[in-house]
Amino acid sequence: MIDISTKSLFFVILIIFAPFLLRNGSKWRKYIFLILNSLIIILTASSVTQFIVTVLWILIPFGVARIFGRAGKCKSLIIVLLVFVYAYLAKYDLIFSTLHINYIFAFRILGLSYFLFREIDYIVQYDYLKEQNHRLGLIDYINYVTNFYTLMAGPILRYKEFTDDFYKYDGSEGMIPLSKDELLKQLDRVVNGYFKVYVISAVFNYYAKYWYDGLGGHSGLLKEVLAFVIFAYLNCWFIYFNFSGYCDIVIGAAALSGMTIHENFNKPYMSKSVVEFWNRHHITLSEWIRDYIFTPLYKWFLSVPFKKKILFSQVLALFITFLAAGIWHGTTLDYLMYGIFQGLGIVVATLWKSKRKKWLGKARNKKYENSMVVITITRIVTWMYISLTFSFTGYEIVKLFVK
Amino acid sequence: MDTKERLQEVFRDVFDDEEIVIDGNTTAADIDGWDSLTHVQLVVAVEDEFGLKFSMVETNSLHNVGEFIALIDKKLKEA
Repeated sequence: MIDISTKSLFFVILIIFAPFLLRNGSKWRKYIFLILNSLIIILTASSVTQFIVTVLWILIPFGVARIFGRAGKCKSLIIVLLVFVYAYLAKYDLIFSTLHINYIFAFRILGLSYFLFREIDYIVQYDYLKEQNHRLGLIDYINYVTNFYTLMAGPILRYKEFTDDFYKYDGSEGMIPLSKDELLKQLDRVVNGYFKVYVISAVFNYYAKYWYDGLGGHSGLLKEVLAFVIFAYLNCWFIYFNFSGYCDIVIGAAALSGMTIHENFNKPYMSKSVVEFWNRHHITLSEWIRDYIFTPLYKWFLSVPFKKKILFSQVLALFITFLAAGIWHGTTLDYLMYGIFQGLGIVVATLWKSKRKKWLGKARNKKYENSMVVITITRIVTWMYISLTFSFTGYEIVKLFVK
Repeated sequence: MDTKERLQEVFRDVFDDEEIVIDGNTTAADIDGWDSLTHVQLVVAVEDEFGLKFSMVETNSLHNVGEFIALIDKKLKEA
């Protein structure tokens, strides 16, 4: 089994050879990507059965989109089914252990959840794209779903975005090589990314672990709380440098092969509220859950059960969306808590903004929002809150309290 | 009232601002408070006003008010 995470030699080789994939406008380009993507799926498979499950997990949604393309109701039902199968493959103990269902075909598939995001996008967009005579063929679909650059952890591209970009030079004359400046810029980004992941984030991770391991051994509650807070603040920088560095590597490397990948970070710790934070951190995930969880829920709440109750519908839809996103991150109780805290943060920020607007009026609210003191304080508070919630990802926090 | 005028009333109602004037080139950047939250509110209000249903894909691919008006007119013709 080979490893295609950014630390593997294999990935470095892929980056070095990336310019050879830059056959823009060439009719062979999609086949080159198809072979490479398929090869990675085959090489990362741990057994024949796992490989078969992976192939089915990729191909079934393609068939579903074609067969049920026009049937809106069926499509929603099938997406619910896909999510259920995903939960089974990812071994969600909260559901399946309670139901006493055994995991016979549940294998750890590389990038499993990211496959699901892309598959749902393809299914939902299928009708619309077909109307526009957009390319929807099997090879483009496979290249989209299994694109090795974004296989592991995103950024999450949309099908239309991916294909538009993939064929952007079609019709123009042959290959368009990268300019020297562009090449150096992207290489610089990749090297910076590696530095962020293997030096900066590693240091934060080392000290975060150190403070986490020390928890429970301090004398007095105050010292314990302080140690926890230090751990959480170190850990949040580990997450930021690790994930944004990873995205730098992926986006830079993909650019070397002529592929544009959506940015995933925009200075998240400059955010003035939890809402703003999610517009700046893991942007492609936020946009995905906005389009496929929040919008349908909110729209349904507004038009059926809670007509005219705008704020209530908004807050409820936001909470459910972030709870779902939290649970998606992992199968343990810690991730449930993570989802609940994200949801609460979003709800409080939304309510506060709405009430504030009413109390202060539009003009005074603008003045409030632009005040330097308010900006500084809200940035610090947001960072502190997010850091505390992030401690639930990757560490066993619930265990610390329930002993 | 034509589609644009009716749509303008919906905008004024949703964004709570009687001074909003829209034209074909108006985008989210021109209207204070037009974000992804209010966009959904706007879509639902437009659905109510015109008695239509939009899919997520249709309303997410709009770039300006002109495209929104064109979409409404197209749907009204189909209905």
